[in-house]
Amino acid sequence: MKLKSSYIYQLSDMRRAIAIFYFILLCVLVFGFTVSGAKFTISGNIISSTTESGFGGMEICSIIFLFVCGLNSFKEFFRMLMQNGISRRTLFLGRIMTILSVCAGMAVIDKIILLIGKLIASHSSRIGFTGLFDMIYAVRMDQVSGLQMQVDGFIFNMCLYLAAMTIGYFITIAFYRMSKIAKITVAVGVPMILLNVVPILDAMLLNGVIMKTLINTVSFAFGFKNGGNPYFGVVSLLLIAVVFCALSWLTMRKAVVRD
Amino acid sequence: MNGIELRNTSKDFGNVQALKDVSVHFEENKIYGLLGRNGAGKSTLLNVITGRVFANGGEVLVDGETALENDSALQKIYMMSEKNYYPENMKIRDVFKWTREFYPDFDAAYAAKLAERFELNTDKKVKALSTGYSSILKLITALSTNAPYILLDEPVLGLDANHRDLFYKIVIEKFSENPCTIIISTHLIEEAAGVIDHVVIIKDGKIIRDESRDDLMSKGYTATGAASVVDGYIADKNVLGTDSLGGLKTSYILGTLNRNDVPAGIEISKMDLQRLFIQLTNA
Repeated sequence: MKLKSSYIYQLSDMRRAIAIFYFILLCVLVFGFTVSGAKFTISGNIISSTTESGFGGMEICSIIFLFVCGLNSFKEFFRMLMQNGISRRTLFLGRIMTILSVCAGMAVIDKIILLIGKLIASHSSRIGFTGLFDMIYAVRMDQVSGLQMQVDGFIFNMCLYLAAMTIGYFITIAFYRMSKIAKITVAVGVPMILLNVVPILDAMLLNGVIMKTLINTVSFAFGFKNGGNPYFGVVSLLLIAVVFCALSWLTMRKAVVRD
Repeated sequence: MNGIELRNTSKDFGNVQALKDVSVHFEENKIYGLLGRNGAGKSTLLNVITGRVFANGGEVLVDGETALENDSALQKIYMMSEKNYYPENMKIRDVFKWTREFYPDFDAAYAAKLAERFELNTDKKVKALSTGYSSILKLITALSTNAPYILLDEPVLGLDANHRDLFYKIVIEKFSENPCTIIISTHLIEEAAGVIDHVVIIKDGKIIRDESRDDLMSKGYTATGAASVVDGYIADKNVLGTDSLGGLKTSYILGTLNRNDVPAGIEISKMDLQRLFIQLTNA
């Protein structure tokens, strides 16, 4: 009963943000299609009339949106639910259910938008519209049916969204638990180490070993080393989501309400 | 055992021991005054009951079941905090709507009636409320939940005299119509004394008094008179404190009054709860 309340509250709060996100996304897509499909005349010269204007990978917007949503999913909810006699465990389970619902829902919506976009694009020689999954696993298009490709794409996107949102959720809980000094140290230190120190050390001392290992790991994790099998990616992304969910719970189970 | 029971509860914040082995039982259908000076541990005690902070030791039971991370126990309690934990952009009517989702016995009609009595505009957002109206929102929400245990931490913070008076009236009305346990943690002892049944006084993280208001009040009295006469009278008494003005001395005494012992020239009067509290917590 309380789990349902926790879920309904957390999901309800996201509905408005999702509606705004898709409104903006659709506006951008409509604008993009209109611009791509139109002939422009500048100083009497026709431009873009023969070249194809392609845009795709709109799921990246969803990934960023869900990551940011994850980042904004703790403090306010924690306070509100603790105020209303909900335990941390029920809050967390409600959040997991919310994440699953939102990611599945957005994967479906994105797939529908993608299919409609492709349908429109198929009527024009100047517009190209491709999904992120099709871009990453283009080689698979020749191996499986169109329907299988759509199903694979939906599952892959959903797992990608789950990973993005759970990472965001963990980061915000970790920051909530940290002291002010720890927050600054992590916020400055982690990006600096990952983006500056490691690449410099790798290039100067390790002869690019870290970068090569990273590329090999990503290639394996996303199935590029196995004929572009997306289910390697699905499993890897699910693992990431599970690990960050577990870390989130371990971090929040002893969280206290702070003023 | 019904009620809220704390057993050997301790809580540290770094080097500061906010609660020291506290054992106390808040019984059903009573109005408690949880009294203590700033930093005595009142809010910590309430936060430990509701699981907002974790105790270092001991346990909290609600109607016999452990309260820690237990939804069914926590649902019996509604705590109004000094701070506001509702989302800032939420409208007041949505606060009521969502509280009803979590507390199914929430009486929306009663909340609307109280909002009208306090002149609280329910179309406003939480962030638009003044300190006083923020307290009013929290009070209305707490009293409308119909939870068996309502914890009010500094309930009259920022309220003007009229609203404070209205609040005490509403607490009495509510309690007579629908008895429940109300724990009022406050500094304004004189005002709250009229509604309190039972007093729990906390000092430096320890419970120093836990008894009915009438019992407590009957144990204290003041003796006023010439300093030399008063000094003679109080020599063998448990004196909590004294005030002197010129040659006149007032002593605050804890114990049963025996009128036959009182020498001529000493005036005896009852000690009010606030005076008793001041003397007990200064001692």
